Amino acid sequence: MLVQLQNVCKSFGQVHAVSNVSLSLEEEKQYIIQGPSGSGKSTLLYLLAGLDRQTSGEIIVNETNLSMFNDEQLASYRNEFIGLVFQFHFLLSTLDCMNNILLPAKIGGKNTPELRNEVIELAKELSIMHCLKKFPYELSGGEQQRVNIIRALSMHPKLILCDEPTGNLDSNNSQNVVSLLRDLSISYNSTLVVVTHNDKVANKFDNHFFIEDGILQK
Amino acid sequence: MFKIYQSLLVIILKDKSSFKFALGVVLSLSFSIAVILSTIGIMDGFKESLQSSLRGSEGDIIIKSSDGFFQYSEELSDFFNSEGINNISPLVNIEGFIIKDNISKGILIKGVIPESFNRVTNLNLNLNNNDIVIGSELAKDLSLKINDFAVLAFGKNDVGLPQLNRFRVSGIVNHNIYEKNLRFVYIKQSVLQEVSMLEDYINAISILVPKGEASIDVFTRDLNNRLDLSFRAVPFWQEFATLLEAVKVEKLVIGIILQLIVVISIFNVLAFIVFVDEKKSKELFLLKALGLGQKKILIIWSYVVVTLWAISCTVSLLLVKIFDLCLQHLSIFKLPGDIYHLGQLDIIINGFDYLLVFGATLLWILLLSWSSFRKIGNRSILHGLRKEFS
Repeated sequence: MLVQLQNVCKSFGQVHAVSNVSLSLEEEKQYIIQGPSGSGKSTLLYLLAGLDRQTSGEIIVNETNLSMFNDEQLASYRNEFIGLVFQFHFLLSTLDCMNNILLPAKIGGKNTPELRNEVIELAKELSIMHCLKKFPYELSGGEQQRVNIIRALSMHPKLILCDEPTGNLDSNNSQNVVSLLRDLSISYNSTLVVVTHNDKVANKFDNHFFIEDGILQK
Repeated sequence: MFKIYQSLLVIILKDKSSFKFALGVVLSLSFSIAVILSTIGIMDGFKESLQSSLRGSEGDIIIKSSDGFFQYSEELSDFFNSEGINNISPLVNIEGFIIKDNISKGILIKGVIPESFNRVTNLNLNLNNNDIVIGSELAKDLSLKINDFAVLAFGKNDVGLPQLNRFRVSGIVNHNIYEKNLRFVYIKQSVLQEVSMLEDYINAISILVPKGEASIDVFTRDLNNRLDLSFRAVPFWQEFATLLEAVKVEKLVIGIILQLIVVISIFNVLAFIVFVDEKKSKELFLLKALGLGQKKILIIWSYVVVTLWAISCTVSLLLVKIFDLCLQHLSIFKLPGDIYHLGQLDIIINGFDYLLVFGATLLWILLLSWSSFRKIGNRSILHGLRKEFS
């Protein structure tokens, strides 16, 4: 088991965003967490990503309890273990796409020529080779999201977490991006978790979770 | 770490407003540092100019006797030889008056042997029996020019009246010290001894410290230990020792007070940190989300601050150089002549002063920035991401 959540709760003051969630995610599988806006699905994803700490319960990743990590260990976990794909591409406008992609590698001190070659190969595969020297504002939404995906995969993460990855795309681009994510996670031997409220996206996956008012149902 | 530091610098500096802010921070900080450096540099420059002027008109060490007048004996000559002192100039200093067109001025008449006195000092006196050389301010005061005649009134003669003699002004000297320019009159020693009935008596000896000796201070102390008890050697700056000490203390105090300017300009650095943190919070939160830890962020911020400091120090050196050039070439920066008459001052800053000013600035920056760094680091990533990207 790659990830195990046991009775995880997350509250913001009086608001219970996530209530008593328990779930298990296996290695190299693809999962969908579906739910309406404000249901707590993004919060759950961010807890898995180590971007926030749960109020109670335990998150065990690779047999390690995330609560035991200090801030530095958690940062290192995010850098090496997690690949994050956000709804809004979150690309930095002051850096070209290549440098945007290499940000996690630079942070982790792993910006090697091999990694750069790998990025170029992946860009070729995703047909955005021509975008690498461009700045994000020069790209279309679909291209931006593919750059975002390459950045998430650049460190070969064990767990790819996507927060509404198609939320900003038209239906054609949405289908392409979802297929791409699924195929890449398989070829990278990673576990994929996609959070969405879109039924069309959800239907592409076999393993479904549904969350409403912070409560998870299989 | 360096790669991500580079990326962060690109992120910050590619933004026009952040770049302009950084430029302003560098300018204000470098100006503050330059003010401190220039101030202490001027003080050292003043001290150096004063000492050099004093040395140029007095020699290194002046030896006087508690008996007042004494003879330059064989014994004294042998002593100097044994100490390796070759440049010696016996002096007679007496007070008197100079009179020109019914105007008289109190003066110090210095009886010198021109050959030896010129070797010991930087002055180039050319004196014959009927000649005097006067200070430049005195010449201005009495409207005396070279080849003009003036009367000197010496002490009492053998019938108890002042002795008056007429001399030709053969030269006008500038000691670079107002008091000396106003009061000093040089005359041939043998003439002064004859007029004042001093026979071969003198009342001071000016010497140069032999080459290879450590310092004038140490040599003077050693000389005093070996000289006959009736003699006392003093370094050339003794006359202005209190002023020089005051300059030293002032330098320290002003240096400390001017730290305030640096501290104020460091608040600009803090404002810059807060500004960038607010303006670039999207980027910072994203970097955190991608795995940039709190410790690394603090280190990168320290790099940014140290970079600003290093650039400011470099720019401040340039500003000091510009100020130094202004000091030397613009008449507005001339010292008032009726106080020191040192002419143009140089800015003299030694390595220790640089180290102290730059080091203190760095210390202040790191100390004051630390609290801002802590504040920046304490915000939740999730809260930041949601706020910035919503």
